[in-house]
Amino acid sequence: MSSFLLALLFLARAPATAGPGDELRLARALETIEAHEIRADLFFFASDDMRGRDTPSNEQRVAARFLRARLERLGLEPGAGTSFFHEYPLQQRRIDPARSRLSVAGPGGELALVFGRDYFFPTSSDIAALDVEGAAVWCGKGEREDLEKAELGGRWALCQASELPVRRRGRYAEGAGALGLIVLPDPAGSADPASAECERTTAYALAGLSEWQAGSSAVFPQVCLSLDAARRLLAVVGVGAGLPRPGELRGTVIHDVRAGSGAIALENVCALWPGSDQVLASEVLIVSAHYDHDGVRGGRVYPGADDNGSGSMGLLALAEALVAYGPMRRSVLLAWVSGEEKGLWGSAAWTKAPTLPAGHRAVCDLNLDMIGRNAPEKLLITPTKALKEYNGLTRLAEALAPREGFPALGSCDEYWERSDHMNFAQNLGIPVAFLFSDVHEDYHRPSDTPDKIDYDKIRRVTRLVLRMLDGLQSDRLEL
Amino acid sequence: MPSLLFAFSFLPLGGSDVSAVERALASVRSENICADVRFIAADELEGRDTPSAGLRLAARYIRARLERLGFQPAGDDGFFDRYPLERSGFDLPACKAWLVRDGKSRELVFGQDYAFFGGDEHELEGPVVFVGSARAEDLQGLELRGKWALALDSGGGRDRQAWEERFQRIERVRSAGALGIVTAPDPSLPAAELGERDERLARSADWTGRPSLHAPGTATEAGTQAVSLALKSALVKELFGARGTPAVGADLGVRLKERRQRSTPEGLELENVAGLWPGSDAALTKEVLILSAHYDHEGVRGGEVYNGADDNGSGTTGLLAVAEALASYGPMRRSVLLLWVSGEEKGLLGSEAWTRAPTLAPDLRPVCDINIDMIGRNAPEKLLITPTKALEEYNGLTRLAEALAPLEGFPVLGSCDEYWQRSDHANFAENLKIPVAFLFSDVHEDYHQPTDDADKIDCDKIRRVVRLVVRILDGLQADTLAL
Repeated sequence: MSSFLLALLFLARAPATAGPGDELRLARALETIEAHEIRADLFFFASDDMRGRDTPSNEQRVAARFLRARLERLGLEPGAGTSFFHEYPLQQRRIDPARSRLSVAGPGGELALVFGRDYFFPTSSDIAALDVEGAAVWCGKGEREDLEKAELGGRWALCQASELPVRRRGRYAEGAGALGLIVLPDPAGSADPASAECERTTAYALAGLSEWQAGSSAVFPQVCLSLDAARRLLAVVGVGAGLPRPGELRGTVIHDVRAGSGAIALENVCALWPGSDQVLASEVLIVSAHYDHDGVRGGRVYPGADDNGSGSMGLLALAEALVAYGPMRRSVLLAWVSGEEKGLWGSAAWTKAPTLPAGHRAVCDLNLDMIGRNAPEKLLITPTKALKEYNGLTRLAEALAPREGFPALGSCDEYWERSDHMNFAQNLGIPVAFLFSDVHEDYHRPSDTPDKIDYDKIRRVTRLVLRMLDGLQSDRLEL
Repeated sequence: MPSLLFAFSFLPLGGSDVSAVERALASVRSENICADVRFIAADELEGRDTPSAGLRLAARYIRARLERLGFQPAGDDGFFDRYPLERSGFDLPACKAWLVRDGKSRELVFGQDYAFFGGDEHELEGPVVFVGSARAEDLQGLELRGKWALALDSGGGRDRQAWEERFQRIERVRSAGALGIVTAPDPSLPAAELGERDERLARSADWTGRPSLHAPGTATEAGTQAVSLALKSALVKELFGARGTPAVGADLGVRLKERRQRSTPEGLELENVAGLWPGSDAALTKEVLILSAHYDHEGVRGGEVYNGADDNGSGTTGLLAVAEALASYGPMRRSVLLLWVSGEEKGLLGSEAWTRAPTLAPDLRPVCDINIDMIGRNAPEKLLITPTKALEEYNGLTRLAEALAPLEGFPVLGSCDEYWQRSDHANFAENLKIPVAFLFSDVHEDYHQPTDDADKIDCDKIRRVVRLVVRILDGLQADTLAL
């Protein structure tokens, strides 16, 4: 309780660094934050031509280069080693049909089946890079007991298509130690269910499925064959036109190679404003905002002017204000992260491998996401007192907010887990706070356009953040 | 009169404002220019083709800067001057030719039997007369009115002289009243060469089919071009028949009918970007000094991005730096218009559109244009200008530039008079009849190559050219200008 009082006293009197010069510096810096400039920036950033800054997209890279150009002009330092771009890999699970084969060798010769024509994956989670080779065992209708009874250790399970979902049979086969599962339609029938049922998955597999972290769990190979491929396979394994009897198909080797196609680089944009105090400069105050949005869907651009053009441009205005302020005692890192809309990818990647200079450590994160809509005096924060994570950042924000026209900060504790600050809290174990001015009718709609933004509100939130940074310069922080 | 004296006492260099110009010059930083060049010439802008998404992004980047700096929108839609263009080409499937002999008609296939490379829409028919090589002496005394003139092309050469001879040949035939000229390789040429020529004909056919950009309604300009088409070697052998090459003036006993049709033009809308920096003097503010630079380039070809960092990323970002300098200067006595034009690489289309319909308020009038295009490469002290003394268009802008250039590390301005017609300033001179000058630091090995990249740009050179431009503007503030 006493430390809380102390913090408030610091705030009320001299903003921490002491010395009358700093009040002047703060005043000067606050002046540089101008609504018309933020507006000009956002009309670029959220124009239709930026096509919703999807992750990944060319326009997102344009957005990153727009930020970089400004940061270079302002003279901030690169915040990711020698670059303003912190690159992190996006795994793209994709099947390259030219490099993928399901090869069968048997008494009847050899057969190479082509992905997307002859064989398919039943679900998108089956799309994976694999290289599995082994003998095959015929498991008839592939009922639970068929699969559990067969000696599947180190072998492929082959069975007939039925009502039983492939995934469930895959679990039985996997449990029985099989290498993988291949499901064939009845060669005597006329139905060719796999090609149609797997159409979507095939399209995904060919176009590429993006995920930030791949390879966390091994994939059990499960394959469905087309009618034609089933007939050809049965010819090769030497059982004629009908179905084999249960038991091992002697001499049959199935070799499955599917090419996964590596990774592309996504970008966070990071800029450092180095501190002036010899000791405290190693302590880094982070201000973050995601700069991605939803891209184009169904032919319509989701411009994301508020979500999160507002926070992104606020951060840019903050960069300008920091230059006017001059170095603070502590260092400040500005981080524009990508992949938020896809699942907080960018902040997850950064917080797992922070790009801070050697000897520096992150001390807190203040995250801005959607700060440009709703009533002028409405601003929400999390964590509030209601959460155990309530901390000095929130206290500071609550104390300073009235000066910028936010008489009382509301709570957005229900968003505690829903934006990038979460990763800073979880992965770095540092205090975080999240400023947010709530959702609205245009939230995640093509109508989230820059003409609806309250630029003065972004200005005031940015000023509040600057005041907070200025308030975080005392010798010791009680966060 | 007293007000004039008053003005002079404060503005010793004929309207120049010394402290303002110093402030403005100091604001021009090469770091800022480099940062802008890296954006404008980034691969992600895909070479800023006209039209393209990358071009639109560049336009919006410029607009954002002008808005931040407090410029006045000076287009017809905010900062954008939107102008229409059309894209059309030849409708090749509808382009046909026929040879008619003894009432029997045979259709010729474009690209296979014959080709043409441009020209207007038409449908022409007439007998074919052999005119040798279509030299002046060949044509003497021949009656060609209403007929096709078939000429053999035996000389070759793709040098300038050979091309000029071809143009003259077309012109000679036209003035002799022929429907048009039909050229064919001399059948007596070696087979290998004939094969090569036939291949060239097939290749150029691809090029003929490619649509091009043009101002609305200007795809064809009736009567301006002579008709020309080329035949494949086998076809001319067939026409001559067993007799071999006929005598000059011989009627080949065959009629040629040719139809040329263009595709329906696709309408496009392009953007120039215009920002006005209004003047402070009640009278002189009506006079507008224009600075122009094209912001388009070549786009992506064969999968490679033509970034155009120098052409004309340098001028584009240089103009952004001028904007910043003007914001530091404050208002000049005269108004300044900054104009970024598109479509330059496609034939100066943006400046043509703007100068045909300037987006200036009715009480404003343009007084001059300084155009900058490629100012970021070659030796630091090398800067060229046109018009120089050698041209009759030599004017006060060049004189001012020559006088001020040494202050910015350009001891002597070289001449680029051979570029007098080749960048946007030409349209300002022709359509607005105002004095213009063009600053240019010459071509280089990366000119119109995918390697015209940001990391090769001399940002300090751009900085100095920008400073020179600011000094020129400041030097254009006297009560009366003698340009």
